[in-house]
Amino acid sequence: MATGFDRFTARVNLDADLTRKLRAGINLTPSLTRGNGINTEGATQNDGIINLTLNMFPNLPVQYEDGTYSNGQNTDFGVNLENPVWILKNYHEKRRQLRLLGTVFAEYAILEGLSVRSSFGVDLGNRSTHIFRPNVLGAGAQLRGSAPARGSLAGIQSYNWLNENTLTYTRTFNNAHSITALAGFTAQRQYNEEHLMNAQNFPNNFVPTLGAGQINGGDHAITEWTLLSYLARVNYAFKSKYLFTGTIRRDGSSRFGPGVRWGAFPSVSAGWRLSEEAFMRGLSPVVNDLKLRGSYGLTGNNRIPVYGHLGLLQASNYVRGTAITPGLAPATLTNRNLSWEKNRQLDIGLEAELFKGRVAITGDYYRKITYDLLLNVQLPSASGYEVLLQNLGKIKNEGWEFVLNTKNLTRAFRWSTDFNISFNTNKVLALGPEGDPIRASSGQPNTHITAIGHPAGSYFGFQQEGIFLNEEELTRYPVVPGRNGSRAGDIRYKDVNGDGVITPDDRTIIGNALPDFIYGMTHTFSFKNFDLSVLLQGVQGMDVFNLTLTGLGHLQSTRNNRGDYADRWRSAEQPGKYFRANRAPTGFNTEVSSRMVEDGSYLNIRTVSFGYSLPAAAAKKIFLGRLRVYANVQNAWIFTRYLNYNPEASFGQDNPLTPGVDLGGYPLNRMYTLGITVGI
Amino acid sequence: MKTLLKYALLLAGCTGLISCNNFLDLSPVSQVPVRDFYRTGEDIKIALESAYAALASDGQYNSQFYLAEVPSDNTTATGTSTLNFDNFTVDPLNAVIERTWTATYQGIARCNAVLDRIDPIPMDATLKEQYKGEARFLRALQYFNLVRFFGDVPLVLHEVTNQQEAFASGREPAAAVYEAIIADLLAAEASLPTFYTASTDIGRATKGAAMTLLGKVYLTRKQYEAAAQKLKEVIDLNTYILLPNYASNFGPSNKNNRESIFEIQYRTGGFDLGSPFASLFGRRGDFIVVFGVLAGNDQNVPTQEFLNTYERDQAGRIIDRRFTASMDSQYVDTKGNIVRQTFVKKYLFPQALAFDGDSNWPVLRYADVLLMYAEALNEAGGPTADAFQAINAVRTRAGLAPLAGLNYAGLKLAIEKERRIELAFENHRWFDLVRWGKAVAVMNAHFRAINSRSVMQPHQVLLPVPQSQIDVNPSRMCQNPGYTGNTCQ
Repeated sequence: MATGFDRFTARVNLDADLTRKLRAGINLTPSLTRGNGINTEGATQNDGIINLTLNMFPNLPVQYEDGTYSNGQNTDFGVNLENPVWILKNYHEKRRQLRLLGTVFAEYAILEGLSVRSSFGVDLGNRSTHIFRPNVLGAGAQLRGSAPARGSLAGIQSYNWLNENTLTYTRTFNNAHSITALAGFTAQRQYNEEHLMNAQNFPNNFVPTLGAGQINGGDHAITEWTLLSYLARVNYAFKSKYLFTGTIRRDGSSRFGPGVRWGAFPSVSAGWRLSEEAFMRGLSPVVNDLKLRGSYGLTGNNRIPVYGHLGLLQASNYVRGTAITPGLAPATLTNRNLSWEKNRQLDIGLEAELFKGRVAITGDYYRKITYDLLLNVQLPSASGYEVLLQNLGKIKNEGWEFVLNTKNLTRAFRWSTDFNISFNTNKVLALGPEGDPIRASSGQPNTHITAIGHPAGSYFGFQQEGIFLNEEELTRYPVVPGRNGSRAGDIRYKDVNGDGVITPDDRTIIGNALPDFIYGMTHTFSFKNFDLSVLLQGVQGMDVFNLTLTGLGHLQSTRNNRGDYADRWRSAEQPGKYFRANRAPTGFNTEVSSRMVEDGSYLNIRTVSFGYSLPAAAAKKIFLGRLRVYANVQNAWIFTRYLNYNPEASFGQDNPLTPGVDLGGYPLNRMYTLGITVGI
Repeated sequence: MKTLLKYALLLAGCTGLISCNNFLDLSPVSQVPVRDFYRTGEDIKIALESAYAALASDGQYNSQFYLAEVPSDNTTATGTSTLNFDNFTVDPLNAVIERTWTATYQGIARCNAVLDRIDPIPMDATLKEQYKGEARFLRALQYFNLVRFFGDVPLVLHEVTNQQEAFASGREPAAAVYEAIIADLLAAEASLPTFYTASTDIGRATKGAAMTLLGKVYLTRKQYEAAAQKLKEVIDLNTYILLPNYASNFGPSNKNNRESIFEIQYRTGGFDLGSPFASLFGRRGDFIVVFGVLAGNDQNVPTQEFLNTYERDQAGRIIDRRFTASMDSQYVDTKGNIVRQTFVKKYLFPQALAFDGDSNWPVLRYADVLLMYAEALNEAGGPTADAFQAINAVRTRAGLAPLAGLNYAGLKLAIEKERRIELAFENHRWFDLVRWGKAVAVMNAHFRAINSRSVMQPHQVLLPVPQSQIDVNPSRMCQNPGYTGNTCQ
């Protein structure tokens, strides 16, 4: 019962001064990764191991006495749940990835201070996944019907090349004014070719390769994108005291349509080394270095699907007799105006180095306004479409970041500490012409809302105020009306619109994914040839939208519930923590509500690393420059009150409109590493 | 190095923006952009296939029984959001109505795309008329389902191409929706052929299908004379017959038979085009092996009360031949035990993959025409000989004695019972109960008879509009009366 992988990597770097003015080089990094995989985070019907394990009936044996495996069909409820142990033992998923990174470059000094450099890099990839799901054999199979073996082979071939061409001019005048100017252009192209083959009806489990079965489907698809950029940058410094940088870049992306695919992104920054000023000289024993800096600029974002601006068709085939007839239907709407999302960011910072470098402090304030956001805006379904990708709205991110580095002990025993902490707020400033909130869905309809004045992608649902402890409370508080309405033991929700009854109109914002602050701390110790480092990382005040509770906290029927849900309302005398159990839920008990918003604050001992280096003289004796033996632990311990596996599962924020959701994330794995580093 | 040189040259020439834009102008290789499609008759044919395919989706006919059979007194269901249809607790957050709304409008949008783009395309004129007729038939069928489930619904009759258009539609009165349905069906009737000969045309909408659906629409609107006239025209087409054996209507070997007027086409084989009904309607446990169905799901399970409505002889044996073709009340499991459980038999099929059966779904068939014709005649002018002849054709095939001498009320009751049994598990019962204005009385009597605490309230003849649709466009959408939320004024 194992998953795992091997990786083989090699690296070659060659640089040569071909003439006094011409330098050229090449580097190559081939690698091969092989692994055995399993579907971890998927749904139960897709053999998702974590969800299957959580949902599997605890009263079934893993295996019967005859060696066959149990299955959800073996219960009175007859649920389609495959045995996760059976899957882990029999499922065959082989992944292979071959990758080649390579770059060639040439640099030519045209004049004193003026040079031209051109580079061409490629990233070639070839990835394949072979899956074979064998036939279920034996008595257990007869109990539940036998599914014939099936398999698939999926592959991706990709290449990405990047050509960069720059002209650089560096010059210092009068030992005071130094200038670096750079102009250039870059071009990049990505090409992906994917193919897939499915087979079924394997006669037996002896041969897992697809030729043994009947091929019953496949796919083959190519996607491409290109990016062109022009850039110019000037750095100017006066005696390292005043620093100035101006940049402008112009990017063209194939993801946008003609006429709107180019974006121009200028920025300026300035720095002032106060410690170089005469008036600071008196403080120099304490303050070694003090720098004030600020920047203001525009950046762009084109992270949308490759042909995101185009209305595309999808296959939707039909049947005529025994023939399958091809059908094509509109899948997405065209948006000719779709263009770059822009960020306007102001950054002001102060850097100080104190006490001969023993203490370094950095403080930063930033304010980022993101506008023309690239958002999948939900449409009324009567249009035939569910979303439209468009530029919309304005969001403000504002915050502070602090870094403190100290060298606490610097003699034979060394101890240094790096600490950082950051605070961020997020607020929607504008949305669309009418300012209507944007709805978004993660697993269920309308789980998130983006509304002016609130953080983007806030959680949306009923606000729980308590439980109806007894019949009397049903007359005192607003209830869900109707025959499926609230009963004693059901959840008491907040009557947000004050109309005296609980209806879907009482759903409101019930949380967001923004933490109060995030922080990290690294301690590094060394004594003689021993070294130890401990990395702590934490998040405070973050709400996880734990939507696994729609299944694992429904107190309803035939599936497992999370352990703490056993403390449920049983009677007015035994009220418990959660609502009452009922086969057919009443009072909106199982709807998305604030009980699914759980504190995801955590502190993780991310890495502990302990090492011993052979003394240089001893290493030399065995013809080595360096030899270090080390032991690492990753994710050594996590302190959290979050009851599901991983509060960080919520960090999968592919869609900025639906952040913070845990839908059955894989547990954090603790990793132990023993290693040797050898230098020649 | 050749590639390098080529792109170095490209970039060297990239100062003028023309070649740069060539570099950035990528068309999808493996997907067709809408802008390049709908150019030829062949394109329209392919677009039309997707409009048919929309019917065979979850949210349309694959799950329609939850809305059209399960709420009736014929069957029950299990599962969270599906049980709600059985016990009349569907609320606006229900997942099945959400899927129904979305999938049906998706199908309508595919019809709209064909109808908006076909006119300027140079192609065979007859074929063009046929394709338009098919698209209008499919659109009418889907709006007919929507208006019967939800009442007033947005009436979108053109392709939506931008955000403004998407948000422009609010709920239109049901009468306006019916007008559009009738206009579509009249046009479809005029342009569709009576039958097709090519095998590539199996399952296409025909003139008879448009006429039958129109008859059903008239009947639903209580335009009985118009209904009787249209249904008589269907009979006079002499295209359809009652198959001698009722059971020959069902099963993979009887697809698109001479009694069939319009069917949703399915095909097994692991292509995601199979019919899900064998898996859905199968019972759990040993049933699976007995019938070769991979995994039953206990959906659309016939009620004991329905079993009792089949006509019996004096010894208590069921004499109605339709019983054994429609359902059963017990089966023998792998260990030889008799298990007393009712189940629907019409769509049984041994299949290698779950939800991959080979039975079609009957939408319209000739027995329905005869029974609708009898009903329309009886409602329009009382129990005529033609009315008796129509219903008795159906009864005789079932092995039952012909009816005679009934008055208006008696024949009306007889037709209602005949429809229930003849068309059982084909998504007619709920629509019929609502159409007859009997849903509330019949369902509450049914609940009393089975000692259920469930109650149907009068407003529940319509389903709630999915809450997501009100949330996303609150200024134009509102809720049906009786349901929680912002109800229409």
